[in-house]
Amino acid sequence: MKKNLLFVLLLVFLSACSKEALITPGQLGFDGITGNEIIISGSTGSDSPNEVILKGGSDQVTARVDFAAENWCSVKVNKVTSAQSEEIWKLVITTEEYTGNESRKAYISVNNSIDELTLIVTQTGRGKTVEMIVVSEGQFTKGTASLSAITYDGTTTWNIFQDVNQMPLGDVAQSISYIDGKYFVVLNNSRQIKVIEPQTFKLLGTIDYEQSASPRFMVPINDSEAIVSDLMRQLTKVNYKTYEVLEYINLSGTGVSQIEKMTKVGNKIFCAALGKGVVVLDSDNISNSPMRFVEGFTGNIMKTAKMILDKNNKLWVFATASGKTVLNCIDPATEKVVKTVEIPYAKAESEDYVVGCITGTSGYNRMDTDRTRGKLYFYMTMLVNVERKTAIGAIFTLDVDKDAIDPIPYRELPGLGMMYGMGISPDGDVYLCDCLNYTAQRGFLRKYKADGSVESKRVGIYPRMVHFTEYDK
Amino acid sequence: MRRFTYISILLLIFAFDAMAQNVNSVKKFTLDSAMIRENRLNKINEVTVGTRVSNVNSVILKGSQTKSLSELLSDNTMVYIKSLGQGALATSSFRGTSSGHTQVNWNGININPVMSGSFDFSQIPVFFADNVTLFHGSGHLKNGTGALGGSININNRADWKDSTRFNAFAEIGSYDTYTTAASIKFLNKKSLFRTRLYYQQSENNYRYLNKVFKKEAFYEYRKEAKYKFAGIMQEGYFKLSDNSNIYTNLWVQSGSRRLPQPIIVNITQHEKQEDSGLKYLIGYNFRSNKHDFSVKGAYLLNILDYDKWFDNDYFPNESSHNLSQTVHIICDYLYDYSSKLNLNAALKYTHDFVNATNFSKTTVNRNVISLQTGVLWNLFSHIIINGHMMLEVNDNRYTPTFSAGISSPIIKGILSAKANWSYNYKFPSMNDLYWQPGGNSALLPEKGFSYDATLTFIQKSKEHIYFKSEITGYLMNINNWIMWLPTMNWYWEPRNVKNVLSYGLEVLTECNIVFNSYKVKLGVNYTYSPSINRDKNFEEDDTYHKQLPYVPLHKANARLAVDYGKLSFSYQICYTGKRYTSEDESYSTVAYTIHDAELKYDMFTKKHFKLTPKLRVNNLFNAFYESTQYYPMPLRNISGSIMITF
Repeated sequence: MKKNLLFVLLLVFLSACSKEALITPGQLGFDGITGNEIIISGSTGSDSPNEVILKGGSDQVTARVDFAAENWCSVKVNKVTSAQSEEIWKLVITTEEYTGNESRKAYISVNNSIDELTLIVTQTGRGKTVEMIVVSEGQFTKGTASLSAITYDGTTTWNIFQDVNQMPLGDVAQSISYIDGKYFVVLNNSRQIKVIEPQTFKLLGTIDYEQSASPRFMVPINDSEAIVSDLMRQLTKVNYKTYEVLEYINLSGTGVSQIEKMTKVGNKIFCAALGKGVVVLDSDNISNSPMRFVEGFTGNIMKTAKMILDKNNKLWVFATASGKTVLNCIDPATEKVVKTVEIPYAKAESEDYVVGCITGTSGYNRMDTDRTRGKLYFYMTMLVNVERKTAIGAIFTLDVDKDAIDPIPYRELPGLGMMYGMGISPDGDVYLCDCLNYTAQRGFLRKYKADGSVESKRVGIYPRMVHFTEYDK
Repeated sequence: MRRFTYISILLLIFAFDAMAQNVNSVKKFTLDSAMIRENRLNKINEVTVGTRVSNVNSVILKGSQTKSLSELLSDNTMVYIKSLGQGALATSSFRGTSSGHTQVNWNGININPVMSGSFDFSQIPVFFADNVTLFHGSGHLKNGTGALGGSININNRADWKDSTRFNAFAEIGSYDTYTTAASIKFLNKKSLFRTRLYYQQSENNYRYLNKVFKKEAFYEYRKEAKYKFAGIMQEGYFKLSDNSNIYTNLWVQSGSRRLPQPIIVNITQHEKQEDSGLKYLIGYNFRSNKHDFSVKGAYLLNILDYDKWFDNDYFPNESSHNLSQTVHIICDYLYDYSSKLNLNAALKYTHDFVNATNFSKTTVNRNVISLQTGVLWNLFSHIIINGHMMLEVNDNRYTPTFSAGISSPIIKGILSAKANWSYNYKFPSMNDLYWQPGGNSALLPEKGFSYDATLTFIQKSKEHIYFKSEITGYLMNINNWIMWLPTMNWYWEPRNVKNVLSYGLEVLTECNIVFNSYKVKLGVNYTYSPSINRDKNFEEDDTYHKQLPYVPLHKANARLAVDYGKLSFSYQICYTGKRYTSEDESYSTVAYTIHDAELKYDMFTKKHFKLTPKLRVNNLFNAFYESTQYYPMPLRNISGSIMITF
């Protein structure tokens, strides 16, 4: 009996010694990464955890995030069995989405009974990520169109396409659209569309017109085709995968000669037809579907009329009539105007002609919305001096669920030279494109802040459009 | 004997065949007094003392018969020519000013287009010019207001002494360019008639590498650039007496060209322009001991038809038709008060008539009357002072202008100096006033003061070496510069928006050497031309103190010509510096250097008969260059011609 007990004790002792002999300090490590750091994008949220595999670990592993990063970074240790029946330890790291400009780090201590490691988790700030792109037309026939990239930390590269590709963007840049993971820049006088890689701005290819055209704006209609509007009595169908023009659709005889901006709602394309109103086409039968006019539309469509789809899935269009602005609310399902909000202009010598009243709007009207799509923002002129009858530009708003605009201006726009474009950021910030006095010099993108201050950045010649990359989906 | 002396003196003068020649009266004082007096009389009639004057060398002029005036000026003078290509629109910038500030005169008659005011030098063949003289700056008022940058003067002369009766040539060049011309002259003691005919056509379809339009560079041929051109000139000169003569000149030409597009666009539309013009001049001169009287009248007709069509069946074509007519009447009187004092007065009337599709009124008329007076005073032995005043009434708007100049030797026969001060105007063009929409009848004239000073050094070391160097500094302030800008309703209108400061240096050096049977001529021109917007229009105006678009800071050309017996060789280098293409210097187009070479040989020279074959290579090193950005110029091209003269 004693001999058996001694034997058992000896076995246990030998087993323990052999275990110590097998486990050597410094064998625990990270597999599949370089060094001891991983980099996670700030846009990655808690729904997309990252995994790091451990090697050399055979006993229990624990991991802990440093105290300073606990609010945004967490780690779990999982043990799984591989196909080869090996035990594998994994760290599952979860980070909260991050919108700061600068990168931040979390330090994860990884331990087993022998080793202790530190994994550095670097979550990149979006500071160097492009936040907005300003499209500048440039002078006609001079090839001075440009794209200006502004990052989240405010760095501006005013001619980024030229800098990256060592060639000019083209002649008269009209619009930029994010389609299929790429940017499509329509060049009106070049009769060309340039395809550009987001963030790097490398040129990927071109779509070239072989027929006369004056292309303006582009909207996808299915998973490979898009329609490009035009001022020369046509629409053009292109394949945005193969960069080819598929068809020129003649609009002669339809009563519509110039189409500008378009918005796709479901299977319908709503088009701003200059001087005519809003026309509707079926996206699955563009070439042959009859062109239908939205019923009940009030006012005149100008070149810059942009249709806004609100949170209620209604389409808003800014139009002008004699002595007033009319905001038309269209139900896409019925193709009818279901509500109008009129903004009359105060006439001189009338009782309404007081400081703060609305006296008109720009010849080229501007309207946009924010991330919520619950508010419309539009440019009007506001009286500031009754005796001298002087007015300045101002941004007014309309809650889409209400029937009247907010009489208090959202932003006043002093010091604006010549407004040539407007954009509202997802957060509701007001950006105006100012081409100064339209001499051939670089203009400004001006941000009008709530505290009344103005932040200006010089961009290209004749800036006309602001594109916010947050909407690139 | 006196005639022989007179002729000898004439020959002596023309023996110095310089590229650019200062006709400063001071130089002439070394010659016979009769010639001096005649030149002084001519001088007050021609240009204000102190103004810088340059002539295009007659040898160069004769060698450029197949070229247009734009190529001649670009390669051989200090004027910058902005061109859209061979045969296409070519406008000037003289001392940093705009194309509308260069006045172009034909035999003393202003031929700037009435509508735009900007002259297209591609439409004037050198073949029709006997003499091309440049007056630098705004000091020469004789031809009226408007020459803020300077004037280019194309003249025809009755050469009673030249025995050449017939001259014809034919040239074949690259890109299907064909040129042919002929002139025939009849003369006797009392009359001279000369007829000139000219024709040129070109497909102009040169090949180049396009690096700016697609992801990968690709070769293509120049499209929409072909042209053809024909012209005829008939001159008549009649000696009524020893003191009086009548002359007449009829010049008709017609051209048709396609308008090229920049290489950053897909060519899916086409433009064509047809220019037709008639210029008729008749004049009478009388000269006596103390009196010099001349009267001339001219009629100018210009027709411009423009068409545009699209590669698209459903978009309408565009066209316009524009017609302008002008009548000039000029009376000029010079009185030789004494050997030291000359007085001059000139009365001029101009009537413009325009019928244009795009004007606010179907027909527009304009009347301009000017009275000009001048004094030439030989203050001391060799110091000359000259002053001009002019009063002009332009469609009921009254403007006075003046210029004053002085010239003097510093070291007799070697170093001389002159200076000029002037105040000049340029009235808005008809397009500025009446274009629909946008024409602005409230526009003010552009105006300004200019100052320039010139030092000339001449050295004739030994009998066969001639060296000349001339340096001019100038400064001009031009106010109320007109620019077309959009209104709040987004149509464009012209406005007085800018004040410009233009200053710089012009340097000319030439050297002629004759040894053994060789004649060598070397000429170099260089200009330094800062031309900036001197005022801010608003606080953030980034055009402040920036160089004006398409005014090169540096421009230079050099020409070496070697004659050996019947063989002639010339080599030319032209450098054009970087030019900004935007008002704030944020865009620019690169500098370029072009080399040209030419070889010709006078064959079968018997008595008056001469046969001269010539071979020319332009752009010898095949440089890709653009005078106007995105409008490429021809790469290396060759032309061969043969000329017959008897």
